[in-house]
Amino acid sequence: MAIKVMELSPLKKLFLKFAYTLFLLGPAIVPLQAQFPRSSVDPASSDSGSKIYASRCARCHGDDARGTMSAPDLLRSVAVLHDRRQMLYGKELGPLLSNGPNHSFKFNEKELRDLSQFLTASINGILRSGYNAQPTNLLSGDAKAGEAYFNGAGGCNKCHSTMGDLAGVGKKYTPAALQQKFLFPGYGLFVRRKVQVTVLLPSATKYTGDLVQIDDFTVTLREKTGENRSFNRTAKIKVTTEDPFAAHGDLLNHYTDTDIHNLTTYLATLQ
Amino acid sequence: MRLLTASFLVLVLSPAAILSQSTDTTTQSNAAKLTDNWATYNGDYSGRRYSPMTKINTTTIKQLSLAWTFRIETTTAGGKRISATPLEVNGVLYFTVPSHVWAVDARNGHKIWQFDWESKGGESIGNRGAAVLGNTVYFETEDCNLVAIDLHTGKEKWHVPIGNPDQFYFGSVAPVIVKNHVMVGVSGDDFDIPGYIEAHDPETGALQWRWYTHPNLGDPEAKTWPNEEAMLHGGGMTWVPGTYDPELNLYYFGTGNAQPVINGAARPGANLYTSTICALNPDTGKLVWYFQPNPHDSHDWDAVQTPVLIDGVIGGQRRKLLAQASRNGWFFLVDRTNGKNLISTPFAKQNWTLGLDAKGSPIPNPAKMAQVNGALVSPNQAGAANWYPPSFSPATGLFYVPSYDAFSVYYIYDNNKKPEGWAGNDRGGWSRASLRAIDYKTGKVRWNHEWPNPGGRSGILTTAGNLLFTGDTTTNLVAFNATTGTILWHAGLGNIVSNGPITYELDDIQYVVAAAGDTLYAFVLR
Repeated sequence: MAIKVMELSPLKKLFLKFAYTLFLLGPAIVPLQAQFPRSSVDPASSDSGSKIYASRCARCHGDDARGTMSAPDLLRSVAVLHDRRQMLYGKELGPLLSNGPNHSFKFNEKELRDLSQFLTASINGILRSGYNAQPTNLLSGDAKAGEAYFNGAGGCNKCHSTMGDLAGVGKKYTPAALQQKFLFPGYGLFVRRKVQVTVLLPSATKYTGDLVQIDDFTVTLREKTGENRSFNRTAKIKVTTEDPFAAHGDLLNHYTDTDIHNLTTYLATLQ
Repeated sequence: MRLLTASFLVLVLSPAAILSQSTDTTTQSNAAKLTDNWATYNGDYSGRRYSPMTKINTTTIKQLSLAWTFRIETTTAGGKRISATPLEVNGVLYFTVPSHVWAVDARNGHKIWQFDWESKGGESIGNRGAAVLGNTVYFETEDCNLVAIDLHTGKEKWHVPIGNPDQFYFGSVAPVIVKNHVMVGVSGDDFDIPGYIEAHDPETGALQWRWYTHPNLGDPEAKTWPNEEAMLHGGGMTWVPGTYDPELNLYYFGTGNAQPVINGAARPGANLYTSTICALNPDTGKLVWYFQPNPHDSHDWDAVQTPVLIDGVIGGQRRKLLAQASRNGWFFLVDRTNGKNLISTPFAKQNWTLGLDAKGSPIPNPAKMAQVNGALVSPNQAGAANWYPPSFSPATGLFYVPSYDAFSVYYIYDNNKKPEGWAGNDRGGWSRASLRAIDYKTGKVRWNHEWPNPGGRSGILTTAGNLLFTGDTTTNLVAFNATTGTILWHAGLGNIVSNGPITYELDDIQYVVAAAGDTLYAFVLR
């Protein structure tokens, strides 16, 4: 049974919106597999470490710990990487910081721990799963050109209306979600329109519904009644599918990146 | 029965008879040939995954029935998918998942022994399998060890380190035995580290040589990097087992993506030897030639897909060839004696090139590298092809590959002047999945079977019975007529076929074995 968003509490709506966004970002945020042990970070400790780093280390190693002409990249330091993965919390970094070349820092145990946590967080942040996966600067296009594309070459206005189904769409989605949604509307957990499938039997009986599963051998559809029906794809039955987003798929072969940037910027103005 | 079969062949096939069999447009590879077992990752050194066995063929296929299943129950860090290609040696199957190895009776699926490695961490995304030499089974662990196991008892003989897990290296590659070398690749692209390949002594595990996938300082190829720092942190992992030509004594393998992965602005140039097909002398670890399918990779496309060795005819001349259907959507054919390019042509949808350079490598279009505000790119990051083993049938002259036509948007997330690690990613997806048969002489698609929906991918096996076995995008193991692309048989398994199927013969019975998720399925004629 479909959930009607209008009936949900604001909190649940917020959750759904968050979940939708999370799904769109899914592969980037939660990799199916990741290195273990995870080298988790205590944000408070890392925050304290960032202050120590800024006051004592950044001048030579750079604001982002990626090194300068006068001191090496700490994110690529084997000693720091060892500290991170073994979760040593600075135990082996301490002697290097107090007695290593050009270093005479006498950090206490907590300071070393905080510094270690800051560096661990900095390394975690550059991994496949580490970046903030929300793209930025997506509204750099030309809204007027986007509008012209919407009503012209893109043919978007043949199916959509900025006063109708797309009214307020710029308020409903972040620019990143908005861009993904018009490019790949059939992708994600919360796709509202399913592929439609029709099965025609030799008796001329026809079944139509949402596609549940299809391969070369069987097909399953869900009728409007909610009932699932499966069929063997024998030579005598005819199976046809209709992708409600086929026009969007076809556009992928025609968009320029400028079209995409302009269209994103235009749709974001539909507040 | 294997001995009986061999004796029979010796008696009835005179040298003239054997030669007369080599009149096809392609000839048998000079590499060690696949017979009735499956002794190395690709069955034999050629990477063709083409079996000469014919009991199971286009006529008998309808009788193919389930013989046994074997389900694994032990995993480490969730690594439960069998992506390993099992080996079949003397009636025993050897296969792996991360941190675990099994020896299973190839006739009935009964467990003989199980080896469990106590892992200290790494990435458990998959393990491609084991190698066998004499009485020893070799495999890599995700915490970067090469482990030698007694073939009969399943007890450890020794282990040696093959990388530093602190730097995000991990082990997943099936080792390959070449003469007295255990060839070992390494994995890991989370972080900016250089890739390499190693050879180890099969008796002691001692390191014989290590070859880094970047040039030496001062080499002309070093100029494909802006500076030493970028080159020494430039990636190029050796994810997939290589192929080998004994006559040329060359070991062929592809290398992985350059690092930082998505934002390549701080590493202008072709970034050799990342995303490159390399030919090494396995005795010395010296590079003999290279060809780069994917210069300046900024899409995580690698060029690690199996370099398949084909002995064929081009322009009326017999040639030693090497073919790769690369993740970036291009099919490449090169002369494997010297790496000279013969064919570069797309086999799938792609929009990222400006043409070819003088050496036949695609020229990447800067506008189709990741952008802060996004660039629509085809194929997507998962690629037109991936690690799933392709196959080549000398009988049909066709190169078979699971192919995806796909789009996604590549974004730069870190526009720092010194990006590190990933610094971006792709998002979203539109894709169509197909099984594609490519004429190796032209790169043209001879037949295409589009699956009804996109989904999982599987490796491919072809046989002299004119059959092709692979998984579909759901949970079926499917057999095709290799010439026409017609489906002849299928069986629904419990999961997506997760490896490359194999075939072998015992007691005059031909088996086909495929893995789907955590289970091996064996089929025979009934």
